[in-house]
Amino acid sequence: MHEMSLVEALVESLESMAERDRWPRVDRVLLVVGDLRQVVPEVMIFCYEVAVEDTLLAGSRLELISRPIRRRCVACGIVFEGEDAFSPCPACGSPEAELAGGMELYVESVEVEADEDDADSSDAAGDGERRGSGGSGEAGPGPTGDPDGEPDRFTRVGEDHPS
Amino acid sequence: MVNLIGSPGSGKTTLLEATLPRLGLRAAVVEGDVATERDAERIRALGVQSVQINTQGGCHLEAHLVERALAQLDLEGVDLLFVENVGNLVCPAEFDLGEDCKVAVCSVPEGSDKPLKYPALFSQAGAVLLTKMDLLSAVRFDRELFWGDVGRLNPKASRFEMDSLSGEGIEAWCGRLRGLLGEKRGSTRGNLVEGR
Repeated sequence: MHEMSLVEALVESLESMAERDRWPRVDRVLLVVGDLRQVVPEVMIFCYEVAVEDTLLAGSRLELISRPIRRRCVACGIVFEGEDAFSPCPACGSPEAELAGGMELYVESVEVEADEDDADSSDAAGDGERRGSGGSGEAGPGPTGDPDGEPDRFTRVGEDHPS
Repeated sequence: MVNLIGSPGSGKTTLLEATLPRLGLRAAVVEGDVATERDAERIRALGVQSVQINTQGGCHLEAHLVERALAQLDLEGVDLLFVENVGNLVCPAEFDLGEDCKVAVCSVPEGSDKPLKYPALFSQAGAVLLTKMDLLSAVRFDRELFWGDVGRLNPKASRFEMDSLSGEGIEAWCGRLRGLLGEKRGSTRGNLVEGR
């Protein structure tokens, strides 16, 4: 149930940024979600698809990047990745450790399509066709193809995060 | 701001009823419930300011709801703000309300396995409160298991046991709240009201 709340807040923030900075079209939103966030990825993505309908983000994709649960041993101080919130320290075996990661929730990046030639068109919304994707909103890779490649424009938003 | 999170019936409002008169600080309370004004009325009966948020089915409070509620309070001179979240051990753990501390409230009759079953809340809590200690002899509750699991999950959380009806254990908790306020005031500049 709370996936929808999280998505609504995300879409609201992104829409206000899209409006303010006049983003012509959003292609992809990368969201970092820690493994201890009780988020079901499929539900989150489904909620996003529903929530962006009739917004400035229509047609964009949400992708989730997971972050492992990390714990800091109170006995020896090392930080380790735990399978769950109870994993003991792999170095000294102490069962006591505090949470050091896994609750992340932030926008890693937003990929925005560069506007080409209809900057002053007032009714262009919704007319845009996805290049090379047959117009389907759920075509595989976005216009930039390789997800590791440099997108047209790479905008970093949201709060800063460690590492 | 302290965000109280626990199951429905874990004794969150009763805890506040026991805490507020003994605290010696000026407090205000934001109450979250799906329906009814009852909890805010119970707090107001103590002469403490309180605003009720009804989530109309929502299973947790969100920051913008709390922000709206704060506009209805006179925060001038308030030392400590309590938010009593909607009774639920899952969703409220997800939503940052701007609090200084999340407090997990669990009662003896709920059973000793709650930290294990709801690790997200118990890992993040700055304090874990075990309420209804007077029922310990009436129900099956493994106290060692409960605190052992809390210790493994979150060794630095402060731990309290109390019986809100008799007031037993409330003073230690009030002391921790005063300490929290002192730490906060020590680390923040300006706009701080002197404690009484």
